[in-house]
Amino acid sequence: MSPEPETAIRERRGTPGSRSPFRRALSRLRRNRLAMLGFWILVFLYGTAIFADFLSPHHYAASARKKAYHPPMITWVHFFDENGLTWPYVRNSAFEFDENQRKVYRETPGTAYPIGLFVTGDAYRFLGLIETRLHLFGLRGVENISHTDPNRPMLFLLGSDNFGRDVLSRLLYGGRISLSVGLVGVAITFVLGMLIGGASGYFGGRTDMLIQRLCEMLMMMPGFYLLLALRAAIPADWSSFETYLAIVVILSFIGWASLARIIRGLVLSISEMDYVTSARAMGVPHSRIIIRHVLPNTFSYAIVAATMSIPGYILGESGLSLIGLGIQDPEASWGNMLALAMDIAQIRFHPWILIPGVLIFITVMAFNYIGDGLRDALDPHGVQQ
Amino acid sequence: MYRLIRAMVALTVTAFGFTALEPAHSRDLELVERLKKNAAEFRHEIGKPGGTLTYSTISGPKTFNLAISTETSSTEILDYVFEGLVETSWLTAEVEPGLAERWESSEDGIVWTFFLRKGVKWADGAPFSTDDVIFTFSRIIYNDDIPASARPGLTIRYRDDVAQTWKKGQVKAEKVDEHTVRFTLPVPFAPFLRAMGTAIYPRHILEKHVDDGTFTSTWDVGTKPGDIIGTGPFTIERYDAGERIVLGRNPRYWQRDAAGKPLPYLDRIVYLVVPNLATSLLKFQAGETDVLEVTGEHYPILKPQETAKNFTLYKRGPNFGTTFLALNMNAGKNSRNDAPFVDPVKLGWFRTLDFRKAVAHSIDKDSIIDNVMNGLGYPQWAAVSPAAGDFHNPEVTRYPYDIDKANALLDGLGWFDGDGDGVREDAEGNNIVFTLATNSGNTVRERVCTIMKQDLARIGVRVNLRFLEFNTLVSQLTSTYDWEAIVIGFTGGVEPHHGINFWHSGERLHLWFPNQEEPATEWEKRIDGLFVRGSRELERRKRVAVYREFQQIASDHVPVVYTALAERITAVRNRFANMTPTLFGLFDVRRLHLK
Repeated sequence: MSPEPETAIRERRGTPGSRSPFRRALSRLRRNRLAMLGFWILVFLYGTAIFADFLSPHHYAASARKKAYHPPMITWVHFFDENGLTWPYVRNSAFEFDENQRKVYRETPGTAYPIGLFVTGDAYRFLGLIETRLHLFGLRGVENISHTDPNRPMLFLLGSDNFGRDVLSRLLYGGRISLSVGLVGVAITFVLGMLIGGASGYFGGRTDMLIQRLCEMLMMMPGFYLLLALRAAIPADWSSFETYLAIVVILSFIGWASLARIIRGLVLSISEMDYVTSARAMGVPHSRIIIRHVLPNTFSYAIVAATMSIPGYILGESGLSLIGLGIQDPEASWGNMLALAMDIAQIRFHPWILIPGVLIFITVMAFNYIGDGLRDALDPHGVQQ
Repeated sequence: MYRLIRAMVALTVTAFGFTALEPAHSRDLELVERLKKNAAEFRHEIGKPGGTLTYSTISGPKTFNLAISTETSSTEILDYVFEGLVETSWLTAEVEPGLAERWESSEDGIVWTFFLRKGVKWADGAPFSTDDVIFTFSRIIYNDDIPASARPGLTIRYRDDVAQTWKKGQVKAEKVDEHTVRFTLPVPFAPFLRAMGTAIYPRHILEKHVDDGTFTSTWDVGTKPGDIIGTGPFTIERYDAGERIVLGRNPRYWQRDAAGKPLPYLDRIVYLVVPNLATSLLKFQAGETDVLEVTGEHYPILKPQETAKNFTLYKRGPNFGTTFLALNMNAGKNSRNDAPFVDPVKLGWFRTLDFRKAVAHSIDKDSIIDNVMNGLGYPQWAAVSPAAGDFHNPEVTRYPYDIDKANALLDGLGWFDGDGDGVREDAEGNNIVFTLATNSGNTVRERVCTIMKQDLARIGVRVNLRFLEFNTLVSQLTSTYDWEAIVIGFTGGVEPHHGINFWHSGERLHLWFPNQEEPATEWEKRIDGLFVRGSRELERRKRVAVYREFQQIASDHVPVVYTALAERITAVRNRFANMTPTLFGLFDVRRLHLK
């Protein structure tokens, strides 16, 4: 018998039975179509948020006063001029009130602004580092038009809002806030909930009692009113970034208690296991036991719980911003953009202001799909393939 | 509308008729002329009895005790139940006889004699007499134990020339006989006659409650509706809290039409309680209500449905309610910790006239009208709304939207952006940054604030927006005084004297520097004097001149920057007759009838 080639041995080692639990879970996750769909949607959305300033044709606060509620220009792009096929361009436009006092936008004849790639526009810092004016796309031929001109030509591919600001650009910038709020918030909740819940379950006794009563008190409070109260405590002169951070902290402050309770329950049973008892007998410090031996066993639950709770933060931020207590105009977030849609007249005549709601919906769905997929994939009793 | 008229009376409206309404815009001239023509040509016709008129309201009444109620949700309903000695015409805004059939006054305007209508009965059948009038004035309105909402309007501020001090006087009511009552004023008071529209209450029911000190808890919303007794055309039939209020025809009502048939014609008025404006709109579209106050933004929804849904939209000219920006110029200090209410640096900017002018020049009123009111509004320059007729001064100093001019004014102060951060610094190097507040939930004001923030950024002034809960805002304005800039609105009426609460430097609502012992500035002193003079001047022509002068001074010193006035628009189902749009109302509810 000839010896087996080395590759075969490696392959056998690579059979499912011998792979790490993490790799097995990952491969299970990869086979879950819905979870992967959610994953790629999120990759796309987070990607656009990271490069928002480059991808957006305008700054989020850039406005043309006299162009409130401009309809989406996607259908207004011209491909032909008098000489036949040409580079796509749009015309400037202006509104008039019709006989029903509705704003009707009409193209201004004789104007033409080509939609260019890699055009110069509003200044920004690319990835927060490099000062540049380069945008992926935008209008050409507008460099000499004053930004304060109320009727200046702007590119509203997805329409404009009530102040004549580009909805697409605001969606991209707003995504930065709406999408990151969940991640930052969950990170805070996660750390707080794991550590506090872990300590509570591990030590038991009086510590446990105190922590659990504290959790119950937090959970008892009606979350929304607590949010309002905490929000009211933020000073007026904080910058939008500080306010944003404060909102995230407020949201996580409410969220950690329920996580801590579940972790505590899990830890309670884990700390009775022999290997924990023996670690204790060997004199390993408590903090090390909790962090190295106990908590890792709760990760599979925690990861799923964290993923599933991200939508809660996104919705929380949207809710706060919707009622005007979150991110303040002119800063954009999907929630405060959606505040416009609280009026029936606006939805009826300007349906494009609902787009942020669609994005919130898609994001929340994507996180839920991933969360479901993760739960199935991380379940140790899941079917081995 | 009857209730609108009554609301105006509550605001102590002017004792004189209207001659000219100055349009805010030339394009409105036509509308104003048409409304005036409507009023002049209108004649009431003989109607037929029966029918129901249905409204929607955002909030039901909080109390049935009209004497102490302050919010319109209650007064709106109770104005059908109670009446005053006089009323204001919905056609001309002239004062017309109500419970008094005529009146006389002494030459100097001090003594007024009212002759009450005979045969008027309270809704429970008891006769109405002078005793009820005396009771209302001496036991309710001027009773210090009762927070009567009519008291401020009937308190006359005057300067005692002998003692050289300001005094507040009351009207003395005396019984002459069963149907004659004499009022004596401390000084001539021009708004007095119209203020006599204040509701009269039944002595035979309420006196015992005043005696035993339970008046303020009498007639709460838990009272059996049939026990609320007035002389008005309707009585409360039932009130289902949070659901509906049903008002029924008062069969004992005194007024009759030209053919001698009893009024009112309508059997019922129903108010449906709805949670918000959107529901009001839907209820109206569904045909469940007959009348709807329409915002500029909802106008395009309703306009195309006029024929199909059988209603008409009536445009009724600029509103009385103002929206303005105020800067805190309060130099006072907190008595507890001796800290100034306003940062002295900011106070310095706010008290600089050229800074205020620069701010005024940077307010884009046209954009506010187009973007917030959907084009249905009027720019406001003067302190008195054009809706108040010739009291409005069309020639005040205007500060048109002009960023270059605003920048030039700030340059002139020597405040430049030295460090290139887009924000100017004052002479001491402080960045010009302040907080602009308004009440959250009021989308009109929030949007006005956002437009202001954008424009102020263009003149190198940075504004932090702060949207606060309404009560928090009010407590900042009236007790803690620690605000910097604010966008807020005030309601108004056709009587300019009503503005004394706001413009007199000694008043609590003199927002930018309330409760001053002595006016802080020479121009505030002049305005104080003009308001007092205006209330004592009985000749209309001179009165108009007084209030016009006040508006001129106010516009020269810009303590507040006005924004825009919304168009009043009302939609009414085409089922009713005896109505026409005028500057002051749409119909007299007593004579409204089904077609």
